[in-house]
Amino acid sequence: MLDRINPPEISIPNAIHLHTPQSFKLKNGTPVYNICEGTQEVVKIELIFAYASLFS
Amino acid sequence: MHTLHSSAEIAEALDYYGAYLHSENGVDWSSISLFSLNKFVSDTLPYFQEIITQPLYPSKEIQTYKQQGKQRLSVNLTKVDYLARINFSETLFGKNHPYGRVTKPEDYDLLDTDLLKEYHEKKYKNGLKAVIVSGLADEKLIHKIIDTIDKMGLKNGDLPSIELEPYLPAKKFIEKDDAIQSAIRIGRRLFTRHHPDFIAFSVLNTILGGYFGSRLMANIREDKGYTYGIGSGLVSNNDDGYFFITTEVGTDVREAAVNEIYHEINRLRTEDINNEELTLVKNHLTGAFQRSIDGPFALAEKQKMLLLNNLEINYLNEYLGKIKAITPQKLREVANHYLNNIDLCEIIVGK
Repeated sequence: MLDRINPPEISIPNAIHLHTPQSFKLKNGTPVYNICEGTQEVVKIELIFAYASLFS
Repeated sequence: MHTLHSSAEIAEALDYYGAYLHSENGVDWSSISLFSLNKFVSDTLPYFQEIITQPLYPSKEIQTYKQQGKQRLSVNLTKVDYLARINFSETLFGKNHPYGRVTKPEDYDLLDTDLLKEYHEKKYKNGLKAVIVSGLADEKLIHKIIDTIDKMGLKNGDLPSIELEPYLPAKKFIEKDDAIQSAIRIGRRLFTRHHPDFIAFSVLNTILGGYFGSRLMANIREDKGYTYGIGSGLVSNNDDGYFFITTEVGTDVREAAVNEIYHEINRLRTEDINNEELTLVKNHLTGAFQRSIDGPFALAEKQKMLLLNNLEINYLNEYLGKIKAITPQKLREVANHYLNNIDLCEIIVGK
């Protein structure tokens, strides 16, 4: 039976270790990072630009 | 030469493949993302490429955007919280820096197809900072994506750095006769994530107003009932960062609420935080951090944060250890160093 009166003890990890993402370069030198950690056949492709607002 | 698609055609095509686009626009950078099922990437990528390299900016759509934008801005300019926010940014960073600059209704009048095409050509085609692919992309797919982006012919660019004016704290009261509530913003220009006190200050911020059980919420919402919500935050941008407290209160309790905010700031400077509260906040931050790295898309957001802040993966790997090592003495020291009343900006809009 699950104990629904007392919560499980909180366990705080001391450290984590995230993998360094696989990296590539475009022909123009721009870095490309691949975070291939998924389990579903879906992909997100994000292009980040160094400019924001037209009035900046 | 192939025919370019209208926005409606692009939307319908992406919808057909179960794909979608998401765009973000920060003060330093912007991004556009394509979410697609792997098996349809060959079908969806050409639309993504077209949007990025050959946007049409049709005048009819720009006209609609301008009308909506101006309308939205004119509504916002009647709201005390919006007025407090833009005045706060302008006071912190000055009206000549992008962080402090405020959009005016007449700015929308300048927009037309030619201006947008010129800006796109000059800035976006020459300003690709990075590409982040996340999900389940194998070697074959990643090379297909890289090949497509290479063909876009974009040039690499880095975040521009714009010189900041010196920070001059100010206290302003902007009267608004018809206000039902007064909006309060208190804070200061601070530092970026690179500063050695950033993590200690983020713990201090959480205690003060960074979660639902914070001191500001407990005092000003739960105990006094002056507001529905009050919070504080710490923001790190490319050139500089800032700390802010924000709330809206009834006009009749404005002064009392401001006094209570300063009372809570003063407590951080004069009393050591007890271990029970500090442990609770550390647990909260640890849990929030673990949620923020759950799944490939969340990890991609973290990678973006590292990239835009010129940080390495160790910043994340060492984060929990640094949170755990914070002591009450360190927090009091940080509060005394950065939260002196004389260094704080105070913007109040209302009555």
